[in-house]
Amino acid sequence: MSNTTIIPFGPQHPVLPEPIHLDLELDDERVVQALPSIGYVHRGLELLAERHDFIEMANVAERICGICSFIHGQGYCQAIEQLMGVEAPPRAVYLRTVWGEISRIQSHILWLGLSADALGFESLFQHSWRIREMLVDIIEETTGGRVIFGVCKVGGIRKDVNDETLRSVRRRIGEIRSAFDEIANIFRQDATVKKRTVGVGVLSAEDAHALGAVGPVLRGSGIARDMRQLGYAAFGDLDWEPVVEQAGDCYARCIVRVREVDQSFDLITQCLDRMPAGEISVSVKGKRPTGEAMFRLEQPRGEVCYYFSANGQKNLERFRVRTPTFANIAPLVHMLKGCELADVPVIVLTIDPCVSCNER
Amino acid sequence: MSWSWFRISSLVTRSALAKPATRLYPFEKRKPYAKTRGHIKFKINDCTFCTICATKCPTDAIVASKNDKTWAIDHSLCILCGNCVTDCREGCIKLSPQPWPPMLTKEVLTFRKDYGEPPPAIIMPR
Amino acid sequence: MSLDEPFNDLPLDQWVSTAERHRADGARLVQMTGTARGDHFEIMISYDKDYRCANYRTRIPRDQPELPSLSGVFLAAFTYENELKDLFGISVPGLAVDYGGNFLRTKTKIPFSGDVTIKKEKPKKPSAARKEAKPANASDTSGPEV
Repeated sequence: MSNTTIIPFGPQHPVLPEPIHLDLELDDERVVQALPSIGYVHRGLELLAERHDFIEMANVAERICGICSFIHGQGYCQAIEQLMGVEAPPRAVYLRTVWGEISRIQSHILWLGLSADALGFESLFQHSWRIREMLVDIIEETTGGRVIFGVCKVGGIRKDVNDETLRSVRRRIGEIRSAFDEIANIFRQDATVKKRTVGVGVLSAEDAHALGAVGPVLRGSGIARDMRQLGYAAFGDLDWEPVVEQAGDCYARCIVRVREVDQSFDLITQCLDRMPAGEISVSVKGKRPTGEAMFRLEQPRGEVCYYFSANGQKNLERFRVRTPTFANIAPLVHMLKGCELADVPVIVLTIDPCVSCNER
Repeated sequence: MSWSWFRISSLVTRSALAKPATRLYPFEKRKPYAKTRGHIKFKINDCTFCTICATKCPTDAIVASKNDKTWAIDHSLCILCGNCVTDCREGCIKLSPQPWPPMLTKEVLTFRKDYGEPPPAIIMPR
Repeated sequence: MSLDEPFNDLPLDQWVSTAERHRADGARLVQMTGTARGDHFEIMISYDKDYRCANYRTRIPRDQPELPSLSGVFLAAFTYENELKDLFGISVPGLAVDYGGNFLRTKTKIPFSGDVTIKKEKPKKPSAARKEAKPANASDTSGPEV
């Protein structure tokens, strides 16, 4: 006789800032099956392509997600530029890369804080967010916005950053890095973190590949796949390797993010060293995107896919975004099978769920 | 597993002895950065009511009328993209770094040429 | 990025066999999406292997939108197929986890099938806005002092 209980988890849950609902089928305290459901905040952003022309849509693309806002804008603008056959000037490309990496760092540190909070480690949570605040200040100083950068436009970027500010950014990045090293070591070594994460929610490399996991979830399972290897923006010129951890548990996914923050600091320094001078945007007057294509980018949460279909009109025919969390739902369901109820919030958090960007 | 409490406790002790990392917000405000997108500032004096800003506005936050000689902005719709600032030929639209204060109702600021100064503020009924 | 990765047309009956072939090759499912065209739906799918994407496109008629499920081949397809079902109204027989149209809760059912169009609203005339406003409240608002 089956003796299972089904308990609802979410959409309102203390550790989840976003509305994802899970039906957990429990045998005693062990999860037998988990059925996720999303769709509480569907916004219909993809249909807005009918209303806004392709230049205005860059603003909409940036608002798909609050945390990876810049990378969405960057991906949209790069894709439209390719469909129009326009090339953004090198300075714009490098500045985009710098901003993209800064937003990757702030997203990862935000996640590290949230995961510390899910583990019940409140002081680590506060310290992570203290460090994130320094990065947000850099973002505000260079772009003018704290969350929505608003600097990416089709053909380049809106505002240049002068060399003095770039030098000060470089110096402050060094300071933030040494402040981050301190909390990174806590994530790496502290017994509280390890007790809650080592061996929890294991996803093997085969399963991760077969279920189509992306981003840190995939790299935590030992597969070195990072869409930045496609060499978009300035990543082709920079010297870096994808971060990989082998264990596939929650701890490995946490360490992947810690190491990626370090790597991004490196990438920012490299970009700032090689920052080319010159124009920041090219005129796209009179040009219209034509054709259809799929573009991929690496976001803090993993690979994002954009599908564009344009017919030379002012409006795009179809604009579709597959956000990384959408691809990580199937691996999540797999990871939750057989775990303890108390570990469910930690496991759900390690895929870095951004449910609202799931529901464009 | 060895207890590695030293790192976090030294961090916590240090931050307990140091000044707070936060600001006492309403009393102590940080000076906004020069680039901060605070709000759109409008001066009616030079405006020729060409309505380019209203056309370029992606969210239709700006409504300008040539005949009435009025220019209105809805700060709850404005996304501070700065299109109007770059496209204004007379330079009467500026981006101020001071953030707009929280709004209790939907506010539409309407400017009218005849009145000169000061601009009447109008609250839209919900 | 991938302008050099074109979409190959695929007859509907090879939909599942192509997925099986890619699965055997060691590819992974990247994404699946639909587009509503005038008289048919287009379903696009992408498989990735070593950073190379193979994209396919199939057409299904509007009067009988039915797509064989791939969730037996790639389990991850269930999220995409439920999405197609909820946004385009395509029925997917053989779906591993079927939410029955409740995966994405939208105000209008199957909003992307082409029935819902977003029209640009006419902005209100400022003179009309002035008439509606209550003059008593006019002094309540003050911008920040700059």
